[in-house]
Amino acid sequence: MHEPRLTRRQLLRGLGAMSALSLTGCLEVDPRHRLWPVLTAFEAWNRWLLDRQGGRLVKTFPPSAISREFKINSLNLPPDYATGESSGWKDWRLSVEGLVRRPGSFSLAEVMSWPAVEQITRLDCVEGWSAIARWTGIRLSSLLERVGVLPGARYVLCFAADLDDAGVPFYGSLDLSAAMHPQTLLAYGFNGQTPLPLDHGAPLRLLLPTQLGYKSTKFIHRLAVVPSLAAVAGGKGGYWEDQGYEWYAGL
Amino acid sequence: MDQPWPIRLTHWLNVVFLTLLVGSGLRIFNAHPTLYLGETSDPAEAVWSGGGFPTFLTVGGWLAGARRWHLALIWWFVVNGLCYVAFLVASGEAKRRFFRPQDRHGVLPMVRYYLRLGPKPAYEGYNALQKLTYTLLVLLGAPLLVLTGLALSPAFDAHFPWYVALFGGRQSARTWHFALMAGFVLFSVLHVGLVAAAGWPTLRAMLVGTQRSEGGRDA
Repeated sequence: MHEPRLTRRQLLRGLGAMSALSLTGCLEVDPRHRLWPVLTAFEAWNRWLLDRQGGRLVKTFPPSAISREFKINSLNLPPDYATGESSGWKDWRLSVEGLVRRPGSFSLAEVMSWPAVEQITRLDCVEGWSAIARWTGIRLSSLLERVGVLPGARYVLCFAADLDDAGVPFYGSLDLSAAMHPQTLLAYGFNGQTPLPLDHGAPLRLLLPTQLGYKSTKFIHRLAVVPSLAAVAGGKGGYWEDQGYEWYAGL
Repeated sequence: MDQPWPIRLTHWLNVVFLTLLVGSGLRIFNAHPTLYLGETSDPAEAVWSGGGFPTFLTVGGWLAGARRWHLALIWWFVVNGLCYVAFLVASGEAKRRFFRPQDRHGVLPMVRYYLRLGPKPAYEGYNALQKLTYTLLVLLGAPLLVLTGLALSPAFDAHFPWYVALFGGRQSARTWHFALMAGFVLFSVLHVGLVAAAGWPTLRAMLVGTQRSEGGRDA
């Protein structure tokens, strides 16, 4: 019995050393890793399982459930961006272009004159936290109907004003079914504050409560309806997606 | 008792999957290492706030890498678990390994024995406490571990808005998910410890299938 016991101890010790090495080493994956395509294949599977909301709605909450604190995650704003706020965003325009019948550019007053919706929903961050707020805005679907989506369109790209430390601007995208969801908003009001405060994406942000928070692009100034995401920036459909986060963030 | 090959295969695959799932889960947790009850992460309702886990315990290297591991391997864990249970049922092994009503009288004596409060009860094969633990783990703990994870999906929330409420809200579901993981880790440590205490033949049975010594197993 003595010899096998020794062997077992050595075996366990060896396994322990191996796992310690492997856990910190070769299991660290990024888009250049050879396992990356295997792991990312499951995003399509998860999307196939979950991405069929149709018109089904996420839970809405009573005003009493609104969070007292709402964590802020944004990149850096250009130095002169805050002057827009002091001028009431009078020079700000939202341009809508790409595969649409009537491309155009709209002032904040125009956007706010369209039929508004209000919803109290939860936003879930990829980091793990959740917060509930009352959002006011227009349905993205109503804007798309206003400009008329042309055949061949598949995605809506949202271009933002914030930039990372290297000067790379934030952007995001969603497909047309997510864009047409009745709770997908272009929001200009946060807990009764209109337009949005700078922290929450002033003056206009996307709100996509069926997916994780990084899909809800803040500081939007331009929307483009496109057939493919490949030609834009890193080609993965978003700032975080280009770095390796899932494009489908419903899970 | 021998371990049939489907049990050995699913068992060792589980070692791999659970290690990677726990490691990647800890890396995901580290992005916001605080647990809450309720729907939201209200700092006033934090139930546990640690500094996060050391990197060497985590898998994936960064949040997106850990998520890729976690959301890919979960399906292998689920399929593996379903194969395991299907084999237990189809082969009749479930009768020997899962808790049955007649086992209920054997649980307390076994607890007393482990606490050094009583003599070792007589049993054949697996003891009642073992069967209870395995049954709770396989039929309740593992499904709940997966289901609380699914409750964190904002898309799933749109399908079944009542579902998240079952766990007391999204942040509660996250806390349960973490607690169940901790339970699995605790079980694994005890499980390996008891296998080691039971001696080489018991481990050998799980490695190569056959056990050469007699007597009951405590792991």
